[in-house]
Amino acid sequence: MQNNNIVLPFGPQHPVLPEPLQIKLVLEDERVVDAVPGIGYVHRGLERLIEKRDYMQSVYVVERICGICSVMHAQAYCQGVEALLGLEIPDRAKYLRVIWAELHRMHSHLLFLGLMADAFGFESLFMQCWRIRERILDIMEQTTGHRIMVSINTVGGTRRDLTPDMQKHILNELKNIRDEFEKVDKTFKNDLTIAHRLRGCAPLDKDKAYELGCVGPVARASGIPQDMRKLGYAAYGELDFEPVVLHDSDCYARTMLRVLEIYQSMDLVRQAIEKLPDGEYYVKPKGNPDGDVISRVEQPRGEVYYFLRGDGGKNLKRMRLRTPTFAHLPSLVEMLKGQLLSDVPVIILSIDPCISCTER
Amino acid sequence: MIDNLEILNDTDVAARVHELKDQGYRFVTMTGCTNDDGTVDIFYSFDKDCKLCTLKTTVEAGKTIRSISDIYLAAAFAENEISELFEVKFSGLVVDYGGHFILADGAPSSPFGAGVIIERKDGNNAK
Repeated sequence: MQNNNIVLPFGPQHPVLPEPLQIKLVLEDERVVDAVPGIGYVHRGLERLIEKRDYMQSVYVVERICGICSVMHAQAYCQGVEALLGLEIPDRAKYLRVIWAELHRMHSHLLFLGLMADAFGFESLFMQCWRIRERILDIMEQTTGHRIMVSINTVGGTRRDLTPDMQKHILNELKNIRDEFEKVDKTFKNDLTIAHRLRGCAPLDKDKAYELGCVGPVARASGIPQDMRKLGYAAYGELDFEPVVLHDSDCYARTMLRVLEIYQSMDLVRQAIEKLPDGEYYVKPKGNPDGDVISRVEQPRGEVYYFLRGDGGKNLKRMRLRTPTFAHLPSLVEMLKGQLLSDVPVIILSIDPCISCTER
Repeated sequence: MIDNLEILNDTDVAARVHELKDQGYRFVTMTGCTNDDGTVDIFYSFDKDCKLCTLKTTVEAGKTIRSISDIYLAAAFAENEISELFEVKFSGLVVDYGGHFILADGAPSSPFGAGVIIERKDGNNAK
Protein backbone atom coordinates (compact mmCIF):
# COMPACT_ATOMS: atom_id res chain seq x y z
CA MET A 1 0.00 0.00 0.00
CA GLN A 2 1.35 3.41 -0.93
CA ASN A 3 1.58 6.16 1.66
CA ASN A 4 -1.20 8.26 0.19
CA ASN A 5 -3.69 5.39 0.39
CA ILE A 6 -6.14 5.14 3.23
CA VAL A 7 -8.12 2.14 4.48
CA LEU A 8 -11.79 2.82 5.04
CA PRO A 9 -13.93 0.22 6.79
CA PHE A 10 -17.27 0.02 4.95
CA GLY A 11 -19.65 -1.66 7.37
CA PRO A 12 -20.41 -3.94 9.16
CA GLN A 13 -23.16 -1.44 10.00
CA HIS A 14 -23.99 0.84 7.09
CA PRO A 15 -27.31 2.41 6.03
CA VAL A 16 -27.21 0.68 2.66
CA LEU A 17 -26.48 -2.80 4.01
CA PRO A 18 -29.48 -4.88 5.07
CA GLU A 19 -27.14 -7.22 6.94
CA PRO A 20 -23.70 -6.91 8.56
CA LEU A 21 -20.83 -7.16 6.12
CA GLN A 22 -17.52 -5.38 6.34
CA ILE A 23 -15.45 -4.45 3.35
CA LYS A 24 -12.11 -2.79 3.99
CA LEU A 25 -11.69 -0.35 1.13
CA VAL A 26 -8.19 0.77 0.19
CA LEU A 27 -8.66 4.23 -1.29
CA GLU A 28 -6.46 6.47 -3.33
CA ASP A 29 -8.23 9.82 -3.08
CA GLU A 30 -11.85 8.91 -3.90
CA ARG A 31 -11.05 5.81 -5.92
CA VAL A 32 -11.01 2.21 -4.64
CA VAL A 33 -7.74 0.44 -5.39
CA ASP A 34 -8.39 -2.70 -3.37
CA ALA A 35 -11.06 -4.27 -1.17
CA VAL A 36 -11.00 -7.02 1.44
CA PRO A 37 -14.35 -8.51 2.46
CA GLY A 38 -14.80 -9.53 6.07
CA ILE A 39 -17.60 -11.80 7.21
CA GLY A 40 -18.37 -13.66 10.41
CA TYR A 41 -20.82 -11.26 12.09
CA VAL A 42 -23.85 -13.54 11.76
CA HIS A 43 -22.23 -16.99 11.67
CA ARG A 44 -24.67 -19.22 13.55
CA GLY A 45 -23.22 -22.70 13.06
CA LEU A 46 -26.35 -24.00 11.36
CA GLU A 47 -24.42 -26.67 9.46
CA ARG A 48 -23.45 -28.08 12.85
CA LEU A 49 -27.03 -27.86 14.12
CA ILE A 50 -28.17 -30.06 11.23
CA GLU A 51 -26.07 -32.87 12.68
CA LYS A 52 -28.07 -32.63 15.92
CA ARG A 53 -31.54 -32.81 14.33
CA ASP A 54 -33.16 -35.63 12.39
CA TYR A 55 -33.48 -35.16 8.67
CA MET A 56 -37.16 -34.14 8.82
CA GLN A 57 -36.59 -31.52 11.54
CA SER A 58 -33.65 -30.15 9.58
CA VAL A 59 -36.01 -28.81 6.89
CA TYR A 60 -37.01 -26.12 9.41
CA VAL A 61 -33.35 -25.35 10.12
CA VAL A 62 -32.37 -24.86 6.47
CA GLU A 63 -35.39 -22.62 5.93
CA ARG A 64 -34.00 -20.36 8.61
CA ILE A 65 -30.61 -19.99 6.98
CA CYS A 66 -32.21 -17.12 5.09
CA GLY A 67 -35.83 -16.01 5.05
CA ILE A 68 -35.74 -14.51 1.58
CA CYS A 69 -34.53 -17.75 -0.03
CA SER A 70 -36.24 -20.10 2.44
CA VAL A 71 -38.27 -21.98 -0.19
CA MET A 72 -35.22 -22.72 -2.32
CA HIS A 73 -33.07 -23.70 0.67
CA ALA A 74 -35.69 -26.24 1.68
CA GLN A 75 -36.12 -27.36 -1.91
CA ALA A 76 -32.39 -28.03 -2.41
CA TYR A 77 -32.17 -29.81 0.94
CA CYS A 78 -35.27 -31.94 0.34
CA GLN A 79 -34.12 -32.89 -3.16
CA GLY A 80 -30.81 -34.04 -1.71
CA VAL A 81 -32.41 -36.12 1.05
CA GLU A 82 -34.92 -37.58 -1.41
CA ALA A 83 -32.01 -38.64 -3.65
CA LEU A 84 -30.31 -40.33 -0.67
CA LEU A 85 -33.56 -42.11 0.20
CA GLY A 86 -34.23 -43.07 -3.43
CA LEU A 87 -37.59 -41.35 -3.08
CA GLU A 88 -39.55 -40.18 -6.11
CA ILE A 89 -41.99 -37.45 -5.17
CA PRO A 90 -45.40 -37.09 -6.87
CA ASP A 91 -45.54 -35.02 -10.08
CA ARG A 92 -48.01 -32.63 -8.51
CA ALA A 93 -45.52 -31.81 -5.76
CA LYS A 94 -42.88 -30.99 -8.38
CA TYR A 95 -45.15 -28.40 -9.98
CA LEU A 96 -46.23 -27.00 -6.64
CA ARG A 97 -42.57 -26.54 -5.71
CA VAL A 98 -42.06 -24.52 -8.90
CA ILE A 99 -45.05 -22.28 -8.17
CA TRP A 100 -43.92 -21.35 -4.67
CA ALA A 101 -40.27 -21.07 -5.72
CA GLU A 102 -41.08 -18.61 -8.50
CA LEU A 103 -43.33 -16.57 -6.23
CA HIS A 104 -40.41 -16.46 -3.83
CA ARG A 105 -38.06 -15.35 -6.62
CA MET A 106 -40.45 -12.54 -7.52
CA HIS A 107 -40.67 -11.20 -3.98
CA SER A 108 -36.89 -11.49 -3.58
CA HIS A 109 -36.24 -9.58 -6.81
CA LEU A 110 -38.75 -6.90 -5.81
CA LEU A 111 -37.03 -6.64 -2.45
CA PHE A 112 -33.73 -6.16 -4.29
CA LEU A 113 -35.18 -3.55 -6.66
CA GLY A 114 -36.56 -1.61 -3.71
CA LEU A 115 -33.25 -1.73 -1.85
CA MET A 116 -31.40 -0.69 -5.00
CA ALA A 117 -33.78 2.22 -5.56
CA ASP A 118 -33.23 3.23 -1.94
CA ALA A 119 -29.45 3.02 -2.43
CA PHE A 120 -29.47 5.41 -5.36
CA GLY A 121 -31.88 7.72 -3.60
CA PHE A 122 -35.14 7.09 -5.47
CA GLU A 123 -37.41 6.73 -2.44
CA SER A 124 -40.76 6.64 -4.23
CA LEU A 125 -39.53 3.87 -6.54
CA PHE A 126 -38.34 1.95 -3.49
CA MET A 127 -41.82 2.19 -1.98
CA GLN A 128 -43.56 1.22 -5.24
CA CYS A 129 -41.40 -1.92 -5.57
CA TRP A 130 -42.15 -2.96 -2.02
CA ARG A 131 -45.83 -2.16 -2.40
CA ILE A 132 -46.02 -4.64 -5.29
CA ARG A 133 -43.99 -7.11 -3.26
CA GLU A 134 -46.65 -6.97 -0.55
CA ARG A 135 -49.17 -8.42 -3.00
CA ILE A 136 -46.94 -11.44 -3.54
CA LEU A 137 -46.50 -11.83 0.19
CA ASP A 138 -50.30 -11.75 0.46
CA ILE A 139 -50.47 -14.69 -1.98
CA MET A 140 -47.94 -16.51 0.18
CA GLU A 141 -50.00 -15.90 3.26
CA GLN A 142 -53.22 -17.00 1.59
CA THR A 143 -51.71 -20.19 0.21
CA THR A 144 -49.36 -21.25 2.99
CA GLY A 145 -50.31 -19.32 6.12
CA HIS A 146 -47.03 -17.42 6.24
CA ARG A 147 -45.65 -14.47 4.32
CA ILE A 148 -41.90 -15.22 4.26
CA MET A 149 -41.03 -18.49 6.01
CA VAL A 150 -43.67 -20.39 4.12
CA SER A 151 -42.37 -23.83 5.16
CA ILE A 152 -44.02 -25.45 2.19
CA ASN A 153 -41.38 -28.00 1.21
CA THR A 154 -40.82 -31.21 3.07
CA VAL A 155 -39.02 -34.44 2.35
CA GLY A 156 -41.48 -36.32 0.14
CA GLY A 157 -43.25 -33.37 -1.48
CA THR A 158 -45.06 -30.32 -0.18
CA ARG A 159 -46.99 -29.68 3.01
CA ARG A 160 -50.01 -28.15 1.27
CA ASP A 161 -51.89 -28.34 -1.97
CA LEU A 162 -53.35 -25.56 -4.10
CA THR A 163 -57.11 -25.76 -4.57
CA PRO A 164 -58.60 -24.74 -7.97
CA ASP A 165 -59.88 -21.53 -6.35
CA MET A 166 -56.43 -20.72 -5.09
CA GLN A 167 -54.94 -21.38 -8.50
CA LYS A 168 -57.46 -19.03 -10.10
CA HIS A 169 -56.76 -16.42 -7.43
CA ILE A 170 -52.99 -16.59 -8.07
CA LEU A 171 -53.47 -16.17 -11.81
CA ASN A 172 -55.77 -13.18 -11.30
CA GLU A 173 -53.40 -11.59 -8.86
CA LEU A 174 -50.46 -12.11 -11.21
CA LYS A 175 -52.34 -10.20 -13.92
CA ASN A 176 -52.83 -7.29 -11.53
CA ILE A 177 -49.22 -7.47 -10.36
CA ARG A 178 -48.03 -7.47 -13.98
CA ASP A 179 -50.09 -4.35 -14.73
CA GLU A 180 -48.64 -2.57 -11.73
CA PHE A 181 -45.12 -3.75 -12.33
CA GLU A 182 -45.14 -2.57 -15.95
CA LYS A 183 -45.45 0.99 -14.68
CA VAL A 184 -42.46 0.53 -12.36
CA ASP A 185 -40.56 -1.25 -15.10
CA LYS A 186 -40.89 1.85 -17.32
CA THR A 187 -39.19 3.93 -14.66
CA PHE A 188 -36.27 1.51 -14.44
CA LYS A 189 -35.95 1.54 -18.22
CA ASN A 190 -36.42 5.23 -18.95
CA ASP A 191 -35.42 7.29 -15.95
CA LEU A 192 -32.31 9.31 -16.64
CA THR A 193 -31.09 9.44 -13.05
CA ILE A 194 -31.15 5.64 -12.77
CA ALA A 195 -29.22 5.26 -15.99
CA HIS A 196 -26.77 7.95 -14.93
CA ARG A 197 -26.21 6.23 -11.58
CA LEU A 198 -25.93 2.63 -12.82
CA ARG A 199 -24.89 2.51 -16.45
CA GLY A 200 -21.20 1.74 -16.90
CA CYS A 201 -20.79 1.29 -13.15
CA ALA A 202 -18.55 -1.63 -12.09
CA PRO A 203 -18.61 -3.69 -15.27
CA LEU A 204 -17.49 -7.30 -15.00
CA ASP A 205 -16.80 -8.85 -18.38
CA LYS A 206 -17.97 -12.33 -19.28
CA ASP A 207 -14.59 -14.07 -19.04
CA LYS A 208 -13.74 -12.50 -15.71
CA ALA A 209 -17.18 -13.29 -14.29
CA TYR A 210 -16.81 -16.93 -15.31
CA GLU A 211 -13.27 -17.20 -13.98
CA LEU A 212 -14.30 -15.75 -10.62
CA GLY A 213 -17.17 -18.23 -10.29
CA CYS A 214 -20.13 -15.85 -10.68
CA VAL A 215 -23.58 -17.40 -10.63
CA GLY A 216 -27.20 -16.41 -11.15
CA PRO A 217 -28.21 -12.87 -12.16
CA VAL A 218 -24.64 -11.54 -11.83
CA ALA A 219 -23.35 -14.14 -14.30
CA ARG A 220 -26.33 -13.73 -16.63
CA ALA A 221 -25.93 -9.93 -16.64
CA SER A 222 -22.37 -10.53 -17.86
CA GLY A 223 -23.59 -12.63 -20.76
CA ILE A 224 -23.23 -16.12 -19.25
CA PRO A 225 -26.38 -18.19 -19.95
CA GLN A 226 -26.11 -20.13 -16.70
CA ASP A 227 -29.27 -21.09 -14.83
CA MET A 228 -29.57 -24.17 -12.60
CA ARG A 229 -33.27 -24.42 -13.45
CA LYS A 230 -32.09 -25.79 -16.80
CA LEU A 231 -31.00 -28.91 -14.85
CA GLY A 232 -34.70 -29.72 -14.97
CA TYR A 233 -35.19 -30.32 -11.24
CA ALA A 234 -38.75 -30.24 -9.83
CA ALA A 235 -40.93 -29.53 -12.90
CA TYR A 236 -38.60 -27.08 -14.65
CA GLY A 237 -37.76 -29.71 -17.26
CA GLU A 238 -41.42 -29.64 -18.36
CA LEU A 239 -41.70 -25.87 -18.61
CA ASP A 240 -40.80 -23.63 -21.51
CA PHE A 241 -38.22 -21.00 -20.58
CA GLU A 242 -34.74 -19.80 -21.43
CA PRO A 243 -32.38 -17.99 -19.07
CA VAL A 244 -32.60 -14.19 -19.28
CA VAL A 245 -29.20 -12.96 -20.43
CA LEU A 246 -27.87 -9.41 -20.77
CA HIS A 247 -24.46 -8.35 -21.97
CA ASP A 248 -23.66 -4.91 -20.56
CA SER A 249 -22.31 -6.51 -17.35
CA ASP A 250 -22.67 -3.30 -15.28
CA CYS A 251 -24.85 -2.41 -12.29
CA TYR A 252 -27.65 -1.39 -14.65
CA ALA A 253 -27.61 -4.79 -16.37
CA ARG A 254 -27.63 -6.57 -13.02
CA THR A 255 -30.67 -4.51 -12.02
CA MET A 256 -32.56 -4.84 -15.29
CA LEU A 257 -31.96 -8.57 -15.36
CA ARG A 258 -33.99 -8.89 -12.17
CA VAL A 259 -36.73 -6.75 -13.69
CA LEU A 260 -36.94 -9.13 -16.67
CA GLU A 261 -36.78 -12.21 -14.45
CA ILE A 262 -39.87 -11.07 -12.57
CA TYR A 263 -41.82 -11.39 -15.83
CA GLN A 264 -40.21 -14.76 -16.44
CA SER A 265 -41.27 -15.96 -12.98
CA MET A 266 -44.85 -14.81 -13.61
CA ASP A 267 -44.83 -16.84 -16.80
CA LEU A 268 -43.40 -19.90 -15.07
CA VAL A 269 -46.06 -19.74 -12.35
CA ARG A 270 -48.76 -19.49 -15.03
CA GLN A 271 -47.30 -22.45 -16.95
CA ALA A 272 -46.98 -24.55 -13.81
CA ILE A 273 -50.59 -23.87 -12.80
CA GLU A 274 -51.88 -24.64 -16.28
CA LYS A 275 -49.95 -27.93 -16.38
CA LEU A 276 -50.51 -28.87 -12.71
CA PRO A 277 -51.28 -32.60 -12.75
CA ASP A 278 -53.86 -34.24 -10.51
CA GLY A 279 -52.87 -36.61 -7.75
CA GLU A 280 -51.06 -36.69 -4.44
CA TYR A 281 -48.67 -33.96 -3.37
CA TYR A 282 -46.83 -35.88 -0.66
CA VAL A 283 -45.41 -39.34 -0.20
CA LYS A 284 -44.21 -40.49 3.20
CA PRO A 285 -40.44 -41.09 3.24
CA LYS A 286 -39.16 -44.44 4.46
CA GLY A 287 -35.75 -45.30 5.82
CA ASN A 288 -32.82 -43.04 6.60
CA PRO A 289 -30.42 -41.20 4.29
CA ASP A 290 -27.23 -43.04 3.47
CA GLY A 291 -24.38 -41.88 1.23
CA ASP A 292 -23.14 -38.59 -0.25
CA VAL A 293 -25.11 -36.36 -2.57
CA ILE A 294 -24.86 -32.90 -4.12
CA SER A 295 -28.04 -30.97 -4.79
CA ARG A 296 -28.17 -27.68 -6.69
CA VAL A 297 -31.01 -25.22 -7.13
CA GLU A 298 -31.35 -21.76 -8.67
CA GLN A 299 -32.07 -19.30 -5.88
CA PRO A 300 -33.04 -15.67 -6.62
CA ARG A 301 -29.36 -14.76 -6.24
CA GLY A 302 -28.02 -17.73 -8.17
CA GLU A 303 -26.89 -21.30 -7.74
CA VAL A 304 -27.04 -22.78 -4.25
CA TYR A 305 -25.02 -25.94 -3.65
CA TYR A 306 -25.89 -28.48 -0.96
CA PHE A 307 -23.59 -31.34 -0.01
CA LEU A 308 -25.27 -33.94 2.21
CA ARG A 309 -23.80 -37.02 3.85
CA GLY A 310 -25.91 -39.63 5.59
CA ASP A 311 -24.70 -42.74 7.39
CA GLY A 312 -27.97 -44.62 7.67
CA GLY A 313 -29.00 -42.85 10.88
CA LYS A 314 -31.81 -40.36 11.33
CA ASN A 315 -29.44 -37.42 11.53
CA LEU A 316 -27.29 -36.34 8.64
CA LYS A 317 -23.58 -36.76 9.23
CA ARG A 318 -22.71 -33.56 7.42
CA MET A 319 -24.40 -30.80 5.52
CA ARG A 320 -22.51 -28.06 3.74
CA LEU A 321 -23.95 -25.36 1.58
CA ARG A 322 -22.39 -22.77 -0.66
CA THR A 323 -24.67 -19.85 -1.33
CA PRO A 324 -24.56 -17.42 -4.26
CA THR A 325 -23.26 -14.51 -2.18
CA PHE A 326 -20.34 -16.65 -0.97
CA ALA A 327 -19.54 -17.33 -4.63
CA HIS A 328 -19.71 -13.60 -5.37
CA LEU A 329 -17.15 -12.44 -2.80
CA PRO A 330 -14.21 -12.64 -5.27
CA SER A 331 -16.16 -10.92 -8.04
CA LEU A 332 -17.29 -8.16 -5.66
CA VAL A 333 -13.65 -7.35 -4.92
CA GLU A 334 -12.97 -7.21 -8.66
CA MET A 335 -16.01 -5.00 -9.33
CA LEU A 336 -14.98 -2.49 -6.65
CA LYS A 337 -11.46 -1.94 -7.93
CA GLY A 338 -11.12 1.36 -9.79
CA GLN A 339 -14.59 2.61 -8.79
CA LEU A 340 -15.47 5.79 -6.94
CA LEU A 341 -16.24 5.60 -3.23
CA SER A 342 -19.66 7.15 -3.89
CA ASP A 343 -20.57 4.17 -6.12
CA VAL A 344 -19.57 1.50 -3.59
CA PRO A 345 -23.06 1.16 -2.04
CA VAL A 346 -24.80 0.44 -5.35
CA ILE A 347 -22.01 -1.89 -6.46
CA ILE A 348 -22.33 -3.96 -3.29
CA LEU A 349 -26.10 -4.03 -3.65
CA SER A 350 -25.89 -4.99 -7.31
CA ILE A 351 -24.89 -8.55 -6.32
CA ASP A 352 -27.94 -8.62 -4.00
CA PRO A 353 -25.84 -9.76 -1.04
CA CYS A 354 -27.35 -12.14 1.47
CA ILE A 355 -25.07 -12.41 4.45
CA SER A 356 -27.26 -14.75 6.51
CA CYS A 357 -26.99 -17.25 3.66
CA THR A 358 -23.27 -16.74 3.30
CA GLU A 359 -22.40 -17.25 6.94
CA ARG A 360 -24.97 -19.85 7.91
CA MET B 1 -24.33 -41.14 -5.67
CA ILE B 2 -22.29 -38.07 -6.69
CA ASP B 3 -22.07 -37.95 -10.49
CA ASN B 4 -18.64 -37.57 -12.12
CA LEU B 5 -16.75 -38.18 -8.89
CA GLU B 6 -12.99 -38.65 -9.21
CA ILE B 7 -10.98 -39.89 -6.23
CA LEU B 8 -7.41 -38.61 -6.15
CA ASN B 9 -4.37 -38.33 -3.88
CA ASP B 10 -4.03 -34.83 -2.48
CA THR B 11 -0.75 -34.43 -4.38
CA ASP B 12 -2.56 -34.99 -7.70
CA VAL B 13 -5.39 -32.54 -7.14
CA ALA B 14 -3.67 -29.38 -8.39
CA ALA B 15 -2.69 -30.96 -11.70
CA ARG B 16 -6.24 -32.17 -12.28
CA VAL B 17 -7.64 -28.77 -11.33
CA HIS B 18 -5.34 -27.18 -13.90
CA GLU B 19 -6.74 -29.56 -16.52
CA LEU B 20 -10.32 -28.73 -15.58
CA LYS B 21 -9.60 -25.02 -15.82
CA ASP B 22 -8.07 -25.50 -19.25
CA GLN B 23 -11.22 -27.38 -20.28
CA GLY B 24 -13.36 -24.39 -19.26
CA TYR B 25 -14.76 -25.52 -15.93
CA ARG B 26 -16.03 -22.99 -13.39
CA PHE B 27 -15.07 -23.40 -9.73
CA VAL B 28 -18.18 -24.10 -7.65
CA THR B 29 -16.95 -24.77 -4.14
CA MET B 30 -14.96 -26.98 -1.78
CA THR B 31 -16.40 -29.04 1.03
CA GLY B 32 -14.75 -30.60 4.05
CA CYS B 33 -16.12 -33.63 5.84
CA THR B 34 -14.54 -35.41 8.83
CA ASN B 35 -14.64 -39.20 8.77
CA ASP B 36 -15.05 -41.48 11.79
CA ASP B 37 -11.34 -42.40 11.68
CA GLY B 38 -10.35 -38.72 11.97
CA THR B 39 -9.33 -38.28 8.34
CA VAL B 40 -10.90 -35.46 6.36
CA ASP B 41 -12.56 -35.77 2.96
CA ILE B 42 -12.15 -32.70 0.78
CA PHE B 43 -14.49 -32.36 -2.20
CA TYR B 44 -13.70 -29.92 -5.03
CA SER B 45 -16.67 -29.19 -7.32
CA PHE B 46 -16.49 -27.67 -10.78
CA ASP B 47 -19.19 -26.94 -13.32
CA LYS B 48 -19.35 -26.73 -17.07
CA ASP B 49 -22.65 -26.29 -18.90
CA CYS B 50 -24.54 -27.26 -15.73
CA LYS B 51 -22.63 -30.56 -15.46
CA LEU B 52 -20.78 -31.06 -12.22
CA CYS B 53 -17.34 -32.65 -11.89
CA THR B 54 -16.23 -33.38 -8.33
CA LEU B 55 -12.78 -34.36 -7.10
CA LYS B 56 -12.40 -36.08 -3.75
CA THR B 57 -9.27 -36.49 -1.71
CA THR B 58 -8.87 -37.87 1.80
CA VAL B 59 -6.17 -36.42 4.05
CA GLU B 60 -4.90 -37.13 7.53
CA ALA B 61 -5.94 -34.70 10.24
CA GLY B 62 -3.38 -31.97 10.80
CA LYS B 63 -1.95 -32.25 7.30
CA THR B 64 -1.14 -29.23 5.13
CA ILE B 65 -2.14 -29.59 1.49
CA ARG B 66 -1.58 -27.44 -1.56
CA SER B 67 -3.98 -24.58 -2.11
CA ILE B 68 -5.67 -24.27 -5.50
CA SER B 69 -6.35 -20.54 -4.99
CA ASP B 70 -3.51 -19.69 -7.39
CA ILE B 71 -5.46 -21.58 -10.08
CA TYR B 72 -8.95 -20.41 -9.09
CA LEU B 73 -8.96 -17.27 -6.93
CA ALA B 74 -12.53 -18.11 -5.89
CA ALA B 75 -11.18 -21.15 -4.00
CA ALA B 76 -9.38 -18.90 -1.51
CA PHE B 77 -12.51 -18.19 0.52
CA ALA B 78 -13.57 -21.86 0.64
CA GLU B 79 -10.05 -22.88 1.68
CA ASN B 80 -9.95 -20.27 4.43
CA GLU B 81 -13.23 -21.62 5.76
CA ILE B 82 -12.10 -25.25 5.64
CA SER B 83 -8.80 -24.46 7.34
CA GLU B 84 -10.70 -22.81 10.21
CA LEU B 85 -13.38 -25.46 10.63
CA PHE B 86 -11.36 -28.63 9.99
CA GLU B 87 -7.98 -29.99 10.99
CA VAL B 88 -6.51 -29.30 7.54
CA LYS B 89 -4.33 -26.40 6.44
CA PHE B 90 -3.53 -25.07 2.98
CA SER B 91 -0.15 -23.91 1.76
CA GLY B 92 0.11 -21.09 -0.76
CA LEU B 93 -3.23 -19.44 -0.01
CA VAL B 94 -3.52 -16.32 -2.18
CA VAL B 95 -5.70 -14.61 0.43
CA ASP B 96 -5.05 -15.81 3.98
CA TYR B 97 -7.36 -14.57 6.74
CA GLY B 98 -5.17 -16.26 9.35
CA GLY B 99 -8.04 -18.03 11.08
CA HIS B 100 -10.38 -15.04 11.23
CA PHE B 101 -12.50 -15.58 8.12
CA ILE B 102 -15.65 -16.97 9.68
CA LEU B 103 -14.78 -17.71 13.32
CA ALA B 104 -14.66 -15.06 16.00
CA ASP B 105 -11.74 -14.44 18.33
CA GLY B 106 -11.74 -17.05 21.07
CA ALA B 107 -13.87 -19.53 19.12
CA PRO B 108 -12.76 -23.18 19.43
CA SER B 109 -10.29 -24.10 16.74
CA SER B 110 -11.29 -26.70 14.15
CA PRO B 111 -14.85 -27.14 15.48
CA PHE B 112 -15.66 -29.63 12.72
CA GLY B 113 -12.60 -31.74 13.49
CA ALA B 114 -12.76 -35.23 14.98
CA GLY B 115 -13.33 -35.52 18.69
CA VAL B 116 -13.76 -31.83 19.33
CA ILE B 117 -16.10 -31.24 22.23
CA ILE B 118 -17.41 -27.72 22.53
CA GLU B 119 -18.51 -26.80 26.00
CA ARG B 120 -21.92 -25.21 26.09
CA LYS B 121 -22.03 -21.79 27.66
CA ASP B 122 -25.43 -20.79 29.00
CA GLY B 123 -26.60 -17.22 29.02
CA ASN B 124 -27.17 -15.14 32.12
CA ASN B 125 -30.77 -16.28 32.42
CA ALA B 126 -29.92 -20.01 32.56
CA LYS B 127 -30.80 -21.75 35.80
